[in-house]
Amino acid sequence: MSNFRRIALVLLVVAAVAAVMGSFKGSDVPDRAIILGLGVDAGDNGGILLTAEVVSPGNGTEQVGTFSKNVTVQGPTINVALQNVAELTGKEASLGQCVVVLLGEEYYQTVHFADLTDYLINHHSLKESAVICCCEGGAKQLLDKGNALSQSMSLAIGGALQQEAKRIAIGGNSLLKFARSQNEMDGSGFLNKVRFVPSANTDAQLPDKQLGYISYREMCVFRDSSFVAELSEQQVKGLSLFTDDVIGETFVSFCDELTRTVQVTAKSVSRSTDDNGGTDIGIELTVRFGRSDSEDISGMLTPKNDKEIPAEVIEDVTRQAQLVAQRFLDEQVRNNFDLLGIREAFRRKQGTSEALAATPMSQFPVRLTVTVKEE
Amino acid sequence: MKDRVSVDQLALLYLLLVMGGKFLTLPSLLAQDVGHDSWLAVTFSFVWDGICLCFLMWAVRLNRNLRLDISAIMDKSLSKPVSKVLLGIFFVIFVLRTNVLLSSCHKMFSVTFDVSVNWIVYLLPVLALAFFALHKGFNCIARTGQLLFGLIVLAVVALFVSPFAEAELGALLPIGEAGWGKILLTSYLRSFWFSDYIFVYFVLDGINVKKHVFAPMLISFGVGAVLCITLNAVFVALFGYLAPQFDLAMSKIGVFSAASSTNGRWDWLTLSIWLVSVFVKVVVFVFCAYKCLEKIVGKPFVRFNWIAAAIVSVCLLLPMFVTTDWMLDTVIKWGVIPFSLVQYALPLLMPLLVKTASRKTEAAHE
Repeated sequence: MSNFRRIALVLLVVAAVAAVMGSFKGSDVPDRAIILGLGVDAGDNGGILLTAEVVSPGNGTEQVGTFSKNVTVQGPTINVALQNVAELTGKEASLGQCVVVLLGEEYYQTVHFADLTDYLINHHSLKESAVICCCEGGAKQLLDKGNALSQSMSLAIGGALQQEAKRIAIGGNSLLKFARSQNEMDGSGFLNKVRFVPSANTDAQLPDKQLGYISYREMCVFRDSSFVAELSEQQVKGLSLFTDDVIGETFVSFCDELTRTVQVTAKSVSRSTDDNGGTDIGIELTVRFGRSDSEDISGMLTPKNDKEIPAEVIEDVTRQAQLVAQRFLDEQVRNNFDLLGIREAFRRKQGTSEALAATPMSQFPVRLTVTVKEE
Repeated sequence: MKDRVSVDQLALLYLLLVMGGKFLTLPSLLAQDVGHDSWLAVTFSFVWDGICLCFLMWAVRLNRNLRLDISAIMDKSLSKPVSKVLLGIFFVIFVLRTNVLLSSCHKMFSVTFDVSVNWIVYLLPVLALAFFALHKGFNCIARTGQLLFGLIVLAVVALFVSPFAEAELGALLPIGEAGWGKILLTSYLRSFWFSDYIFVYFVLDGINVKKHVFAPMLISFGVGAVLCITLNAVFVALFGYLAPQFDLAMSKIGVFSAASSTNGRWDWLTLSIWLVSVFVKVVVFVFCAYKCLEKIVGKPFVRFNWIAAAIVSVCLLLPMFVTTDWMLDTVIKWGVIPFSLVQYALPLLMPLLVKTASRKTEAAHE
């Protein structure tokens, strides 16, 4: 290769590299308003009031991941509201790290929010595994209580519902599962309802600081993105009994003049359907006494649970579990929703049909069997 | 010889090619056509592919002594005009498949990685890579495939684990709900995405056949088929009614797991590694398109041919003027019959064509 060709080749490569480098339109982290959570409340004139918990890297003294601020905007739609967040912060609103979407009480009870769910599930950045839930009062008010928890409200709720809830007998829901539930079969699904519970402040240095915790013990049922009913704590417990991967239910039994706590440590749920619309559901609970005493083994406290659970306690727990589960089933029939996927089980056998989706839940009798055994 | 390749290398490269293109737009298109039965359409497509691959490898075995190239085989057995027409169809397929792959990747960069770039600048490094590989020969591509193979397979498995655990495969019931006729028809109409073995035609004269011909290729085919069918099943089971709307399957599945995305964006890392297989596929298809032009011209390109490279480059500018949807709804939709000639009919005839061409060659030598 002649010198002239070599130089020409080098110049060509340099020009190509320069063109490639100069044409990439990436966006740096400091140019982004990273949204950790969104709160949606009913806004003016049928619009929405959107509160975004934002982390803005590179803003003076802010430390990434430690401090966040809430930005509240109005908008006729979620799309416009997010654009308004971008205008207000001067940065591109980034939903890639958004872990929770909170629906305020007035919003979810009065608005048919199919367009909101549709927008969120089709958003390229927002993950389908993000948590969607509803809350008592306004979503803005709840997000503003982050100081009371001394951490990001969005991360606290998202983390609890994504990872912790299943261990304390609460089923959780993701954006994907909720969107699917509202658009497939009978269109019914649930959202966890979160509630801020104030607690006493014993901190002498910050006597005015509000403290509290989040309660996750309730749920709301929706059909076609409209509110249907609210489930009580007992009904939520009933629903959790039907869910294999949710454990941690506790039952209190009084026997031999002793009040004992029994905890579910494992669960097996079996189902079968017959040709007449009936469903047999068998729930097998494995239980043990709640931690009663402990002993020091190699410097660690270890629960000591070698006591045999009396037969009367097992019987009592069986009766309680049957009762709680049946209460949930009754509520399901009363409000004609299907959180157990009973219609889906028949769809898998008979194929998809509108008639099946429209059949009332009272036409699908459930025969329930609960058995309890000791761990 | 720089285009020389062993059967084992060919098999590894084939597996990369199978994994490299079917996890982008195809799953959503199939879900649009046959809903939760899309995995069945994929299964049928792989059944046809498996049969054709067996015939093609049989032809490779028959060709092991004379090592005739595709052009010589078709010229001697089907006549030169027919050969040119078939090579023309091959060229169109390779160019279209490269365009569809590149535009899907372009969208993935912009949507998943949030990097926007214009088409020409996006194409420049890809073409540079492809032409460098072309200059070095097919053996260089095969060795790259060998080198990256383990890493890419691990990345694909890592991408699958969490969604597979989340998906409720019972949602795929009842099997065949869309209707078996419709599923078979869909399998045929979407055949454009299959038959990745067609690159083998263009290295026929460079394959080193030693002991095993069928086993390595069929093992690769089996692994690739299982992975693709599983991904399709997981995709429709996981996303249900949303599956037709999510046109970048691997992107959606890959970033699905919340845990993986909060641990140092492990999802992006695995997705990026998997994307390498798409670019390996692009390089192989550009190589084949270039070879098509060489065979159509009828004179071997002794040195790197800039004109042929320029023609391929110009063809890859197509997405600047038309959308992928337009390509799918027009050229690819109407081209399914001529395409199936080279995808399905030709491999079935290959052993016969090789035998005829060999007989004629030997007769000419005598």
